[in-house]
Amino acid sequence: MHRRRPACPLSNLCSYYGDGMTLEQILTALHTEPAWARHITAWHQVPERPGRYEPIPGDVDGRLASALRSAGIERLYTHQAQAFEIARSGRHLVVVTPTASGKTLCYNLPVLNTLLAAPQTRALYLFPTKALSMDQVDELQTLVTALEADIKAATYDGDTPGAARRAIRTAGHVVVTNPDMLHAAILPHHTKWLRLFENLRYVVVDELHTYRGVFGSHVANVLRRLRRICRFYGSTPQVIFTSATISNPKELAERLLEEEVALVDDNGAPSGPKVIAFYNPPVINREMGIRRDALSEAGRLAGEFIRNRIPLIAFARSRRACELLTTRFRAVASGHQIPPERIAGYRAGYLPSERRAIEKGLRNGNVLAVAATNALELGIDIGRLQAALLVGYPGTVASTWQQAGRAGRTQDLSAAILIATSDPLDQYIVRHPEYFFGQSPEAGLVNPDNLYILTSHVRCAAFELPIESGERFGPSTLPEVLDYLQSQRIVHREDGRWHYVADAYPAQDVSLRSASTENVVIIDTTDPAPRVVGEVDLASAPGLVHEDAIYLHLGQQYHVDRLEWEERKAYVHRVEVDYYTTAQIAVDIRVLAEFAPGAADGRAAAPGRPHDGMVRGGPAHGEVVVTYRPTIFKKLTLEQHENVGWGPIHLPESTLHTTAYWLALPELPVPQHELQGLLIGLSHSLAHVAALFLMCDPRDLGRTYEVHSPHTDRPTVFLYDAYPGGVGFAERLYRMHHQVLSAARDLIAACPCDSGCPSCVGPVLEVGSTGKALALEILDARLIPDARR
Amino acid sequence: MPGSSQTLADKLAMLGTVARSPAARTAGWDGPAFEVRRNRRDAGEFFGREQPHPADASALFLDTETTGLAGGTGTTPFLVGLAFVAGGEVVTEQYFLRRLSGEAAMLDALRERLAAVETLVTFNGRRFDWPILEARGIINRTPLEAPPEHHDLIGAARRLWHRPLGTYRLSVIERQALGICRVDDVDAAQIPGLYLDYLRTGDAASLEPVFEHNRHDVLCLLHLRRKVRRWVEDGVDPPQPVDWEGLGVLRLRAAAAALDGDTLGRALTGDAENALRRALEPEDDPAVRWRIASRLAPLLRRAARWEELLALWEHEVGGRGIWRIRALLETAKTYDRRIRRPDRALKILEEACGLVEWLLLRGDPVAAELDLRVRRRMMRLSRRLEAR
Ligand SMILES: [Zn+2]
Repeated sequence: MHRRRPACPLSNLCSYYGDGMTLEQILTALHTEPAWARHITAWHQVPERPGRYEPIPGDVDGRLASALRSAGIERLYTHQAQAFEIARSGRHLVVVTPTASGKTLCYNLPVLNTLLAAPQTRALYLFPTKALSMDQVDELQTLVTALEADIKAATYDGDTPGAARRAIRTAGHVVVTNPDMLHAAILPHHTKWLRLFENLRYVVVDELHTYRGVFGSHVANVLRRLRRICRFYGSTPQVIFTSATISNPKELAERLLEEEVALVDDNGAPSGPKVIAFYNPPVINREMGIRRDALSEAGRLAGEFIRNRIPLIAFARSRRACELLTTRFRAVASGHQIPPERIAGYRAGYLPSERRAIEKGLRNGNVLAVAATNALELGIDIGRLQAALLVGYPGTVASTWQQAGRAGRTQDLSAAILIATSDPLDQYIVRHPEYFFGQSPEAGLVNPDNLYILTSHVRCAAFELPIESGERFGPSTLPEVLDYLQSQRIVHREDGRWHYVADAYPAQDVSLRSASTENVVIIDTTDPAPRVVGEVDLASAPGLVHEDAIYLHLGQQYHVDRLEWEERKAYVHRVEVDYYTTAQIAVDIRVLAEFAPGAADGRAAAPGRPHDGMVRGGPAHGEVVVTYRPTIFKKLTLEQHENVGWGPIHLPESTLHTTAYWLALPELPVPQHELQGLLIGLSHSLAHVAALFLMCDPRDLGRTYEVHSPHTDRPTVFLYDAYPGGVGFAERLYRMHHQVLSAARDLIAACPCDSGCPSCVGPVLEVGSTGKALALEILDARLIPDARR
Repeated sequence: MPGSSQTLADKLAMLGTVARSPAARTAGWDGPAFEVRRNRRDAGEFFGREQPHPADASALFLDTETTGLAGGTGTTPFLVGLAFVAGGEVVTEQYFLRRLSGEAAMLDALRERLAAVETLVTFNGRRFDWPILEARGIINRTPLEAPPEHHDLIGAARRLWHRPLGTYRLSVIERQALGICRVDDVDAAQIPGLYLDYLRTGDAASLEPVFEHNRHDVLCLLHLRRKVRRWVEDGVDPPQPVDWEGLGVLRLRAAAAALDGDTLGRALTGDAENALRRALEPEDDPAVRWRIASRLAPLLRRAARWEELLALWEHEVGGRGIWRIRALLETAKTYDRRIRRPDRALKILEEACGLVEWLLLRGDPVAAELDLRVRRRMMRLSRRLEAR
């Protein structure tokens, strides 16, 4: 069967089956072939589901109904009909649907129907990314063209040319943009958008589940500002949200909007049969708990799909992993006479034109396999793929379903395989599939009243319109915030109104995405003419582009020669080396105030000493100051991750004022180094499990420990919100700490390693020989009395 | 409200590095929220012997002082300076916000003034003053309407002085070109802060330099407008240094605005040509020489002054590289079409062809395009000559 073809070194299936296997055959082999099947911890079959339909409602404009029919839509899915009904009744709504279930019609139908009846009305669509909004305009345009009505839909973002901007401002019926543009370019110039705001009837907020944490808290304030401007112009727009599956879509929408929102979550769209499998790579070193590398396992698995020409998407968690996967896939492809151009990489940091080309290749089939970061997780149209490989748990149940949904948008069989890394989160998920397949426990958290975020937006709001006394903008603290701004010469109070008086454009200083507004630009100086190859945000820059770091872009390695911190520029040149670099950052924490138990609204006890009547030790939460100091970086080999060198990092120290959850331990009769090992192990496992429940990236949650905390007077583990002021993680952890502790216990207990590995408490080298056992003991001790209660 | 050890104000203070200022006092002013400061001067005294231009009688000169330079909706024009000519007098009116609440009344008064004139004259008003006033009009629900014409002097200023002075800021222009000298002028960057100080203290004395600055600015517009008109429309030579090419362009525009075949139009065209020739004569930069020559050529063509057109291009043949080739092409065109000497044209094209090849060898990026143009023209010409 494989005459003249080089033997496939990556696959053990080729010897049993030949070329041209179908997806079904590949899946059967994976499920039954012991070499693979042994490591599959979950094989979940989602049965084919027939669609449920309703006729197009009678009050849909005749032109719109016939446009739908000519696009092949004879009837609506039940959820689309329900959304239309609620929208017509004038209520706000949130539609929760999986990928490819006709979600866009849920808002396009009521919006276009209203526009046909009243052509002066306007709609504003908000998408979290530029790429998404471009895609949506194309789709909307197709429908509008079929309508033969004079409805203008246009994207308004940083790339929109000047002349087009003017036309969109006055004549655009549907303005498609992102929250960042609304915040920085539209609201501060609302008088130029008179026509839009006077006639604004609908606001569509797509991908609601992405508006969580810091970003969501900012967007909630942008919506406060939007509604304030609308009130000024006499419009009261109705809001339609759409969301992927999370446990609290209605709550999140209501938190963002501060009004009641109706929920539509009964999906009527059909879906083909689908297999979702969890694959845990084999342990190759039991003492150390080392598993085979997820990336190389992904390469092996992908080989099965690629060589059988089955369109595939693989999701990696980092840029670096995405680049490495692309390289591996190309190696697989060339082993099977598939031109390497049919394999693509796709991630943030690529230029827009590069991304457009890849998206097109995916749609027309020229690209067979793509390795992507979560930049592709959202609803960009890339056509129908049959298989999805998730290399590493994407971090949340919601995005796992979204990434898995990238395969199989048709009626046909499709497959999604999650390959676990040795990260604690991954290990917890693949060993507890019931967590994943049960009711989603994840909630989107926002804290629109975070003082830092709120204050930024009060400034912006005052810039847009004077603030009246008695006006509501978020919490009751508004007058105090305004008094502060008065003292900063930013507003001036006169006759019960606050006028903006500062000589600055406030939206410029506020980035919705992160604590920093700036990026570091990466400049390649290999050739005589220097060239910008990409950007990294300021917060990640110390770890990624410090001097002597190896930076990866488009599969190319670059050596960082110089980082001009003040200028925000990193100068690099192309290299080919067999190592990558990773940076270490020293963290220091100081408790400013501890909140009283049960006082989740943040009432605090006196700083530096526990609150009256409070038992020393145990869980607590409060305000802290964290100091970061980048110290050194390590060089690790690409294949074995062996340490082959290090160097210092010379970058300024930074501080963060935020909220933290901490757990003080009883005094333990163990030597100092064992205690340290225990604390490292506990913080490691707690942080990872906590990220799971908080639906956040583990990087959004800082962790550190103190062998003897001056605040609790005991050994203490801290988990803190990595954003100034916090977005509610600490409080949530404090409230659900029992669940978090018991999940951490399960994680450690179920880990096959002897005395610690990166999958549970961290490597033995860091936690020592007793770290794992002590951690387990402490967690048991903490949990038993709780469980008895 | 988090009742932690820190007060809200302490926490907020951590947001920025700005030093905390003492609690603000409320302004002590309780007169009308908006006031008009009016000044009159005899027009004769102001303009000297010259009379104000009749067009200026229906113009409103405007310059604002604002709480910031950022633009957008949150910038308040707290002082609107106006100047106009009425009844043989030059009147300045300064609308001053005693309190921010006077803005609507102020904009109302401004609307009336605007409704009475044909032309608004500003310096950078298209980009700065007018959009701010327009936005504040909407915010205060007193929408403003612009007069039929808005004459922004910054365009002329850029053409006339950007190259020779390296800037076209009003303060530099007035010194260099109008010969006006300001004493003790307030630094524009300080103005927003001074106004905020006034709001906090109610003491308008420290704003006197701001009023003076604004009055000076708006009167300066009157001067500048009058001078520019004389230089552009009356063909008077401006003081040095000036950008003669820019002046030529302004005169050409004025000519185009004048009626076709009108004597005024013809006179203006002649003035434009003078300015352009003065610009060309000392110019060293080959790209600029080419640009000026290309502006002059249509004037000569329109007047069928073929010998002069030929002389213009033949002179440019003295240039180097691509400029020489472009000039050869134009010379050949003129010989062929205007002087009716196609044989001569062909010779010139052959010369150009040799030069292009040399450039192509050196990998000049423009050479390929020039090569195409030269060869195409040569081919057509030789075909025509053979056909005879
Ligand atoms: Zn382990």
